[in-house]
Amino acid sequence: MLLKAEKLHLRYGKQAPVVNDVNFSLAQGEFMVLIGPNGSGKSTLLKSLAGILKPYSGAVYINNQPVHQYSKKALARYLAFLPQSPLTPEDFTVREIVSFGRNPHLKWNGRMTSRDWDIVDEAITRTRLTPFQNRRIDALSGGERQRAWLALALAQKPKILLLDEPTTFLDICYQFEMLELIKSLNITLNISTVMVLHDINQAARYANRITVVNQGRIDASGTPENVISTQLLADVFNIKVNIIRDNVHDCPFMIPLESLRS
Amino acid sequence: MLEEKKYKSKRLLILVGLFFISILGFMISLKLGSLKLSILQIYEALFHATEGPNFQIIFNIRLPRILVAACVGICLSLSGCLLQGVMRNPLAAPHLIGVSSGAGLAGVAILILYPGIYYLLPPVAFSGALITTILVYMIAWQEGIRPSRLILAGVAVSSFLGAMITGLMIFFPDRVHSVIGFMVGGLAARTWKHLNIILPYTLIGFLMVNCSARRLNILMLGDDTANSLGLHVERTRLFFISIAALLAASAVSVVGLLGFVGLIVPHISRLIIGSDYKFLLPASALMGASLVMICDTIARTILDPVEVPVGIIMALLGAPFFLYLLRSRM
Repeated sequence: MLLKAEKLHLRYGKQAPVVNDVNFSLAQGEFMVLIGPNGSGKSTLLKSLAGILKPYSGAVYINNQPVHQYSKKALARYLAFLPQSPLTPEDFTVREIVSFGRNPHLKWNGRMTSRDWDIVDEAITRTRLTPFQNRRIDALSGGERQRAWLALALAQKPKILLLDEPTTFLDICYQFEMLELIKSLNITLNISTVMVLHDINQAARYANRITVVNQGRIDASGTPENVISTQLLADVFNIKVNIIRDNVHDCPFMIPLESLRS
Repeated sequence: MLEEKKYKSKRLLILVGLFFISILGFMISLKLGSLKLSILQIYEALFHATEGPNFQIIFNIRLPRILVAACVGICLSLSGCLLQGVMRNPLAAPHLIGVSSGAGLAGVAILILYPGIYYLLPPVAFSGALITTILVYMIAWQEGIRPSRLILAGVAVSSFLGAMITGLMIFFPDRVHSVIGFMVGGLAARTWKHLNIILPYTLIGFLMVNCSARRLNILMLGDDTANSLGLHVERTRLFFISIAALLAASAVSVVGLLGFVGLIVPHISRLIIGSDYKFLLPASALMGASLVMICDTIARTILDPVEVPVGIIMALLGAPFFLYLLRSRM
């Protein structure tokens, strides 16, 4: 397994645990989407997989080696994490921001070689930001800015990419573009991906595997066909749905009918 | 590419400009004073004379004082710059993490309670500043440092120590006079031995300018992003706060509580050159050096033969200038 977690317990400070006794695994090349209601612990789980939140107990492994045995920089060369809302500093061009992605690869003196700049250029090209690369990042639209953060992660040359709600705050067109882009990176560069999404239909369409997080536990994990059922959506999300087949993309499609919360 | 290059060369140009301003400030400060000397006389005194009144005034009074002023300016503005970076808070300044109140209480205690050992003022004020900063840091620590908690802890500790300072001044009204100069900050009678105290820290500051810009820039992306880019956020923050405390402590222990420089100079620099630390750090250092040198020259010449504490001049000139920039650039 490329990335896995065993008996993971997560909590913030001395507060009540957010994630309880979770086992998790991600295979090479997989495209996994985490879904779950608000406050279910999916972002917390993602943060812990990214090595940012230390487990209260249990451990996260990359290539069967515990994450805490990796140095910070070595981990960052292997795994990139895109938080839900990165801070956008003023006065930096897109290209400068993307170049920060090379940080874990730089020597102590922090000098960028021409090879580093080539990788930055490649990340910019792949995210189709070439026309914007010399614009200030705070002057970009939400969708372009999100692509810039993705380019930053790409410049790390990661094997694993973790994204926390990369489509939130984007309009439907940018959401679609973003998901297509991430999927294409998954296929062409073979970057194994875990992503938190709120839209169940988008999850069903793009994921190889959907993992359902509910009340700090994993309720289900499998192909969209196996996971998305009227029963599960009723149990986890408290909604009554009708599930039909999207024959064009060969995946289940759910139509929400009513809330079951009473 | 063109846009980017143009912006970069514009910022380089500003740096060069600031460099020349500080050189100019240095020369003007050397020239002006109660004793009027020609440029030729100054040159003679600096490079050829080994005695005589001109030599005494230039080499043993003006020159060290100007150099101390420059070092103090560099240390305080770099300190403020680092703190604003790691705390991502525009109000972060050396006095907010307890440096000034710590140095203040220690200094005032010496001047009022033990005036006999006044010559120990610099090391005692220095220790006071560092101990208070460590205390503030420990109070704010809870499985990591949240900048806002650090600032609030700093404010609370500072007002506590401030009350003690005021208390001391009220109980010993006859000795208050010696304290005021220290509280406002001034450079009168600062000489080579003071320069020796502060110079090592200024050199640390120079090192910082060279090797910390990238890490500070990455910190601006937020803790999570910085973390996932391979930066030890907690460790980096502690490191820069310690350096900032050292820089500010060395400055206030030599000249007293010059609070204004550390807050305003980084902001003025930011308005002029932007927030990329690669440019912001050197710009702040140059700006801080020029500002303190020039203000001190005004302070010692404007009401000649009476000296005005430099802190007053700085606030009177700097605050309106900053407000002007704020209105016109933002």
